[in-house]
Amino acid sequence: MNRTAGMFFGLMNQTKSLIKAFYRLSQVQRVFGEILSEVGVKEPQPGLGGVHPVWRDSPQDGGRRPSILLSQSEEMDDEEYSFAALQEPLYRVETGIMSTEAGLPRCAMMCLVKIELLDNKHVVQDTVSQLQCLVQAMSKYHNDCCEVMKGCQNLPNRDDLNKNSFQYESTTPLHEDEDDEDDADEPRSGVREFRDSPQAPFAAWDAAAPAAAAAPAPSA
Amino acid sequence: MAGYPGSNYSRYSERADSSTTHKIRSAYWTTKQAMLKKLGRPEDEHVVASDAELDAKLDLFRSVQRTCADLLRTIERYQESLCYLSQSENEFGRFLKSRSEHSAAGKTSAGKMMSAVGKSLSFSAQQRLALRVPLGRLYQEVETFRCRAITDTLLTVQRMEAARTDYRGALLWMRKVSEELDPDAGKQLDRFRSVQAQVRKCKAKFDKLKLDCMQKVDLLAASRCNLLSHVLALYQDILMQFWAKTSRTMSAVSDSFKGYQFYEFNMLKDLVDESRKLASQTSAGSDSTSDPTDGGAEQFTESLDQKLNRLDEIFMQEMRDQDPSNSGTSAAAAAAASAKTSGAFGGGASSS
Repeated sequence: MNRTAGMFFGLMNQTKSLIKAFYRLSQVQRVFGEILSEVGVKEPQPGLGGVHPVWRDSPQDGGRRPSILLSQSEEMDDEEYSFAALQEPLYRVETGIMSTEAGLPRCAMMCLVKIELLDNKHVVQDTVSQLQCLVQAMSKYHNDCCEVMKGCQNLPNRDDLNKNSFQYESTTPLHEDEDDEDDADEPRSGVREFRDSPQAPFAAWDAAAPAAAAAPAPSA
Repeated sequence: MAGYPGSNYSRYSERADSSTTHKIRSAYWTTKQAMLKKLGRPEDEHVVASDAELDAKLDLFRSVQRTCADLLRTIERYQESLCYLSQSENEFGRFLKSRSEHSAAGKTSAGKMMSAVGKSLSFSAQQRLALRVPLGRLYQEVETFRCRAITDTLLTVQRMEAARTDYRGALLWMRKVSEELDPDAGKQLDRFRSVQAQVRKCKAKFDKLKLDCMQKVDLLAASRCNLLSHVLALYQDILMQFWAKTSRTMSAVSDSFKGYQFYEFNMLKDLVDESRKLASQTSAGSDSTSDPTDGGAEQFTESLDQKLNRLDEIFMQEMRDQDPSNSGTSAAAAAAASAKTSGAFGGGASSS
């Protein structure tokens, strides 16, 4: 019985740590999802921004499942006091306080029966059912997360840059007379100039742009 | 010179005045503009309104900076929490396994179930650590992006701000000179025209840097989204594989121990048959070994051991196999992301 009490106590402590760990992870995952949502919302390119909001919502429920086990473990712990109630007749048996010899074997038998019933109830049936609940809940949680994530499997994003990406209302072309004819044919002349300028060291980002996604980068 | 100048005069005077006095005056007005800005004095609303689009882009740039820094911090915390949870799960699993081996309950259904649950938790803990790989990758990519791309864009922004201060300073100077202008006084007209030329020069420089800046910020944001979408694809694949595997293993454990568990009563032997009958009626996949009319503790133990062996096979299979629908996608995504991002920043490093 002492061992069983120790086991339940250990179960409670382990479950508490597990809950704290789950909670901590779910808080971080929520923040992670919020940052990605902000990235998606503020992205000026319309196609690229839509992916991220789902990420925030999937891992929220994890903390609830182990907490169910914890509360059930605590109920079992409350019932430890019923074990303590059995200690007294056992103690009496051991120290031989019982007055009549006829009563002693009957009392011992009763104790053993009670122990066996409690062993079946708590150690076997309750433990199995609580662990079964925990495992089932965790399985369902992981399955639900998987289902939610399946709903947003549109990565990597294959949308191209908008044609008017680098056209702005408030800037004037640099050389109006020369570029007037060119601008009609090359709406992205500003980008080309920017790309070729020495101030664009990440001109090689064009290799990473979705439009060039098919070609492998040479330095890979 | 008095009177109205000829057509050539404008070109003569629009050549930038490079005298020292002019430069000092120009520097004075630039400094004055910088001070006004620092002290937060209100500026001309029309001048500010003309830069609305630029200011919106600068907000976007600051948001990119801030979210990159936040993302890095969060990924570090994510890695720590992941390890902590994995450790807790593993400890819980080991606790259950050790209790099932060393206690008298070990031979009962409770003991076997504790062993099975312990194994599934340890398995989940081990699989969870696989998430560290894509997270580490994401961290490296965002860190490189921040060190190179954001730093470079910041330099352009700073040059643009310097040009803007020069331009607005020149506008202040122009306003002052306009207020004092007497068209009949030739010298004042000369000064007005030189200030006008200065304003034009500053505006041209500012417009060029403004365009550069806005385009760079847009490209920065688009590149970041592209980078994130590739690396997060890998993370998503691995996360879904993890959830699918652990869901399958835990649901197998849960199904194996459903319902009432058989208990071999020693004192209350009358209850043995009842217990066996109840167990076979309430269990999920009842097989021939749980026939209530057959006796024998051996049959009960054998059935439990069979369950555990089956669960062990499931664990081994999950550890060996990848999810067939995701394996091609995740490998391709990883290769593509690696090629693009390392190529992009390799090119960036060589040209900067």
